[in-house]
Amino acid sequence: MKHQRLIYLITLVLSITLLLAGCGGKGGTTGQEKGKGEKVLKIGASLSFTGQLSREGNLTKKGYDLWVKKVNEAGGINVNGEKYKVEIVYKDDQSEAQRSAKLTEQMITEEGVNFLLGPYSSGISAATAAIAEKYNKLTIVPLANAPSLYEQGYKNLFGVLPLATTYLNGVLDLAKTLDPNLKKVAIISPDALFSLSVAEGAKKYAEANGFQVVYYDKYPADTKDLSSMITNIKNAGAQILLGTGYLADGVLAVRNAKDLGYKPAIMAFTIATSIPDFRNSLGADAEGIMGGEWWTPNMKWTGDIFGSAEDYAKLYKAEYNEDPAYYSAAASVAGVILQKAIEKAGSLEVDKVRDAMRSLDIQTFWGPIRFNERGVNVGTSSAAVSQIQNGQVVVVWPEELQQSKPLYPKP
Amino acid sequence: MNNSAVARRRFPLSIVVLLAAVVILAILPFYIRGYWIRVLTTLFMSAVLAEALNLVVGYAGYAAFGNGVFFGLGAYTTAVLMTRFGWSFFPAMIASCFLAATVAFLLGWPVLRLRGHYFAIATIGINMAVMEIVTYVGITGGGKGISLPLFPGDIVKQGLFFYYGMFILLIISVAITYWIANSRLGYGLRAIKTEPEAAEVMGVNTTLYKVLAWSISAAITGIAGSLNAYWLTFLEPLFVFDIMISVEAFVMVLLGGPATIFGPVIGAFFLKLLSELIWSQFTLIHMGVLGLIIVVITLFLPSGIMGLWRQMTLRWNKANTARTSPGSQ
Repeated sequence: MKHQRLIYLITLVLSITLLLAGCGGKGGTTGQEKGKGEKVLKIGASLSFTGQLSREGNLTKKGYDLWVKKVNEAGGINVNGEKYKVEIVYKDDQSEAQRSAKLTEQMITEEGVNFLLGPYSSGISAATAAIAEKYNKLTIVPLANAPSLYEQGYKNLFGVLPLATTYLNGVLDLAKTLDPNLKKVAIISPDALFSLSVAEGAKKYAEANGFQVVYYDKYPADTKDLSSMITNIKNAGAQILLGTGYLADGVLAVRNAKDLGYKPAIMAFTIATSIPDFRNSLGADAEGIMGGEWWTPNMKWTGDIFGSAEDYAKLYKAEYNEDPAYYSAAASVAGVILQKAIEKAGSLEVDKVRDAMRSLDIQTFWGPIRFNERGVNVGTSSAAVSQIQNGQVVVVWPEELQQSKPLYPKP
Repeated sequence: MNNSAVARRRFPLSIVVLLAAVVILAILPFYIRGYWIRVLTTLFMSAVLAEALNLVVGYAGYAAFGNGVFFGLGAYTTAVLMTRFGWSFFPAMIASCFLAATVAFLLGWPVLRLRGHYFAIATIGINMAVMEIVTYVGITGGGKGISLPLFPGDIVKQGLFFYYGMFILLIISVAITYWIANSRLGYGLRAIKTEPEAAEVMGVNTTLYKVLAWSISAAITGIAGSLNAYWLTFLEPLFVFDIMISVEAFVMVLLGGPATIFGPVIGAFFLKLLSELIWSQFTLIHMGVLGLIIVVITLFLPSGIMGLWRQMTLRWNKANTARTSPGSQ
């Protein structure tokens, strides 16, 4: 019979499967003895090292690694008098949610980790958080800040960044102090999770603060031309233009605005000032543009593990020979948060560490850290605002972080 | 290997082996941990997608390159019904199945008139168009994605639910393939594949047959998407309308052997296990290694693993008969 042979093949494949399943070995435990009585705390991190999000994934890893190095140089995490060296188990999710979910489960059941440092994107974090929740393992996500992620009622998820919805609030706060006649706001957003969250948040905040949102619309994420939108915005007489897209969206909006002779008094983008490419590709046209800034090395925050933001930047530069982006800083501070919570709890038990997280109130080089009941960091209320002045990025808001007076109106 | 002894026996043994495989896979989750349950569940899902695609690609000979669209449709239908309308999972799953099948049925009439590359490109176009629609329509959450309710019950129950869900779906899709392969529909499809005009002359209702095959394929794919959505708990258009889902299933079909009953399943197991092994070895270059393997396999195994297997057994049988004939050895 023809089928007979096929069946043998199936058996063969099946036995390979079984063999592989058997190879899993025993899951490790969180606190492990290693060599000369040295104790090791294993932490899991599934990141995107390849695929669409590989850049962010690698920056995140650098931040984690720097924290690990710092902790281990100091002898490790102090758990009730015993020092635990830190080791992060990295997995590559290839920027795919399904794979990230699988790897997270692998780290929990095969590697026996109790604590997870999160992936970059909110979408992927949503998939892994669901698993960590079921296994009762703690996840600290440094960068995922879509509001929907924190509306699921997960008790084991903590985020470092303030919610995306607050990203551009600072720009509006600043606008109020600059000129009482600034009223008309236009908000444009590409159709993507993060950007839409920012745009919705900004719209709500603007309306609550007496601004008039004269234009609000989204466009497909890979748009190559925004001129019709800009024309409508110009006709609506918007004095403030807020764009919530990524690098390319900002560049496009600025170019289209210039072509159409549209000159708003304030132009701000979510991701613009923080990336050197933005200044490089726009040159003089970038002058006066503002951006939300979760963290920069010149912010005046300081904490006990890494010292000040500036110290952190120096250490980072010495290690990687490049300036730190906020991705890496957020990742490092995620490690710091976990460390502080474990030390406060004096235990490696998830329940105790979670309780410690809930009541955590610390100062770090990233800024103050405090979590609300949903796991959102409410230590700072929104992103700072920076502006490009003479080709340099300077923080202009809030006042306590201000390095230079805002350039207003935009030239 | 004592295969030679067993190989001489007849049909019943193969049934026994198949049943044993099913029984082993059915009791396996009680002996392995969460991660491996998940790996096997993913494996079953890939096998289901490949098996469903096989009906169109293997039997009817239509390169449905964008078949993943039904996966996404199933996923989103379930997500929207559960999240926005408070349906429970099973009714939502059935609705997803029907919606996918209906869309395939309606689109099939115009699209399946196209042949070769044209059809392949049209299906990719459909995939992209549907993704855009899903992104644009407010009810799906658009680019922001949509969260499904978490599976009630602990992680063990959750793991088992999706494991058996996918496993049963796989068995059903293999059974359907078996039934089709041996039915009038299957013969008709193969006739369409070899000589469409001749098939028509012989009285095969070619359009209806093709549309039926595509609808059945879509229905199975839609259920897989539905299960996947509930399993993953969060959807973004790009997660489920990713063209790679279709491409991967396609590779599995070609790798295993198109127009065979078990080929796609074997292709799926092979590719998935291979990549699982590769991932653990080379974290940074796995895509490259995987790509290379795919190239090598498609170059040297044009008719898939099943074809190779057939060739090998043929040679082996010849060698056997030569050996048993007087004079040799």
